[in-house]
Amino acid sequence: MMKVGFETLVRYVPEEVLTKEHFEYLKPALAKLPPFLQEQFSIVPNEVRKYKHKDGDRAELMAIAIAQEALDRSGLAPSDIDYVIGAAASLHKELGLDLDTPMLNIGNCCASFVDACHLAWNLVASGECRRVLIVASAALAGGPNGGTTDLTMAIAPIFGDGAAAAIVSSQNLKCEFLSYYGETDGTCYRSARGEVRPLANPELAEAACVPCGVGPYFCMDDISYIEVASAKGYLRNSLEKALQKADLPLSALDVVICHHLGDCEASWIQDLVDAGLGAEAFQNLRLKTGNTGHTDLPTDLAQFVEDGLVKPGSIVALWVPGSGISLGCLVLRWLVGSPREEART
Amino acid sequence: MKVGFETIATYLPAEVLNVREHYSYLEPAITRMPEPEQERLRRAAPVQVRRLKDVSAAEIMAVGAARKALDNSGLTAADIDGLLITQTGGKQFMPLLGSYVHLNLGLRVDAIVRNIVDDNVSALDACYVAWNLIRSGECSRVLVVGVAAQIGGQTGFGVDLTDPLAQNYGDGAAAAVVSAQNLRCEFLAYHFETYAVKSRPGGTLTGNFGRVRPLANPDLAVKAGIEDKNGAYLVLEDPLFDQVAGRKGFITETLERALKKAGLGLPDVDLVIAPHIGYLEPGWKADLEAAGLSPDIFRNLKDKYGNMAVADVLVDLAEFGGEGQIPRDSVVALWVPCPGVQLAVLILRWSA
Repeated sequence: MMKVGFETLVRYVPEEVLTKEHFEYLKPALAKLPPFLQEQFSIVPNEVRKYKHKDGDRAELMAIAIAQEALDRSGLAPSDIDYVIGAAASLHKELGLDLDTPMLNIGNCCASFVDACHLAWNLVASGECRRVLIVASAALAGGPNGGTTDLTMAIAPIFGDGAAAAIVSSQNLKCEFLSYYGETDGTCYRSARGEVRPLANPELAEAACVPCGVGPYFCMDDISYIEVASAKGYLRNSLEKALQKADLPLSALDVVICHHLGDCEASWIQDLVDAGLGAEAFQNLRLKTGNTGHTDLPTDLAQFVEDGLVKPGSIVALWVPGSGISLGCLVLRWLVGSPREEART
Repeated sequence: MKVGFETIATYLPAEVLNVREHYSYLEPAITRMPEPEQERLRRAAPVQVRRLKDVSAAEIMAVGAARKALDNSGLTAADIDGLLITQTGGKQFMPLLGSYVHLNLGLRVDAIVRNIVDDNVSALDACYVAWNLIRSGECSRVLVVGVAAQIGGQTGFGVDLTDPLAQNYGDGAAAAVVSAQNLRCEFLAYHFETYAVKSRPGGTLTGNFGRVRPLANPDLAVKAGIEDKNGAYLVLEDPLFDQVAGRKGFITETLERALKKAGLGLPDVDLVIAPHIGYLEPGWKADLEAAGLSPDIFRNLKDKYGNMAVADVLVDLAEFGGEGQIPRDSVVALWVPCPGVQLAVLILRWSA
């Protein structure tokens, strides 16, 4: 059976750092919430990143830059790409792709990258495409040219900007995909959602440097999404199912990279411990980058490879319960050393 | 392996709006437009459209169309292992309809669910993804759903009903099961093109909504039956789209490239179903005629349903097929350009 995986994986972490002190203006908003939400929304990262460019859609600008880097790093030409998932149409022009290279966008919230990997795997394995470029870009640090974060909402400090890109193919593989498992649970359809609404706390608009008025903002007035995602056994059961598809036991896992949801982490780590894996199997960079949506997992994986935490032979699970809930889990085997080690050899 | 639609069904709201009567309140705004645009608007408007006035219109129509598709074919939720869904409008921009439809149809927990967000080409993109999921053996039956909930409520993501262009738009949905069994048609080729291009808004979530803005004509809000408030209303005008999709020869050149992928030529096509964009239709028909094709091969239900965005071509195919208007072995092109500017074409052979 043809091996398919990442030929290239690159990440972009914006330069501007916003520490949690930056969000102190939100204290009155937090104080207004019921105690259970205060507790949830107090679990914030130490810092998040924000893309500095003021003109244009930040997510789009980061997507173009990181996709170009993926091509440059892999030494591939635009004509080597047969299909693109996860980017605005403008990327097509900026990269100079062929007129008939299809583009697809998946709107599965934070699971979109992992779910895109599954489709890309399918396209390459079936022989329909040689190389699929997947782009993940998140402008969640808020502000006028960003995404959907209401900067007057107490939950705002958890969100950050970031981007990653991967080329999925069957050549020059950095890793091999072993299995994908997805689950859907529509009972939380209205929990973590986005709709057009006024600012949560208009009196904080000036402190947040945002205009008053309505916008397409993230809302979370009930926490059923968090309750389902952090239920005992949720991580473990779905990981088991994903590994089963790869004929592997749970104990084969070396690293589990989870979506950056601070309020779920304690229960996820406990799940891994209960399953006999060490708590150290759980890894992510939430404290450094915050929640960057579907960008979390590829950026963490790329960093862990650079840091040598993910080594040749490591079995890694990328696990994300996206809003909806759309749960995606991709199990892969990393095949090569860190770029530094590769350069040495 | 032959792959195509095993079944295709529509869900069209019961309420019919006579466009000329219902939208007469827009006259003051129309008369403020330059005269050539007024003329074009009046000429392009559909005769009637459908409307579902409900804050949950997208959810209702999506589940309604999906259930009809299953019922018509004698399938159950257990037979479906993939759901690809696309929408225009709705009450929330995330999560999109996938998990809601999954829950309400009772699909199995690990069915593949993907929300496809590619403006009006989404339904055809979904068909291509479904085609690959079937031929790779990943799925045996994939349900494709397209929903347009554009005029039925002020949810923040729909048509600005004070915009003169609002009269072109309608609500509706279609659903199809893609499989390799009991085929009503066989997919022959999928073709996609991207032209230079403008961005769509959306952070991590590429959405079918515009930038937040006030109503185009707040003075008409009361007559339109809506509140005068800002919203992320759909963008209804795109000069770049008109320039590309309305270019002389665009439809014939792109159809030719799509047909070539199926080993066919332009003379082989029997029916072209295009989205419901009235003002561009005369040019497209003239192009087909100039290429030696009968203008009759261009058909759609624009006058009956208006512009239903992602649902247009699936609704038309379902209705033409259901009424026996597509002769067996006809080569049909579903041809959809959308803002961006992007184009998707699905060539199929009708076999029912």
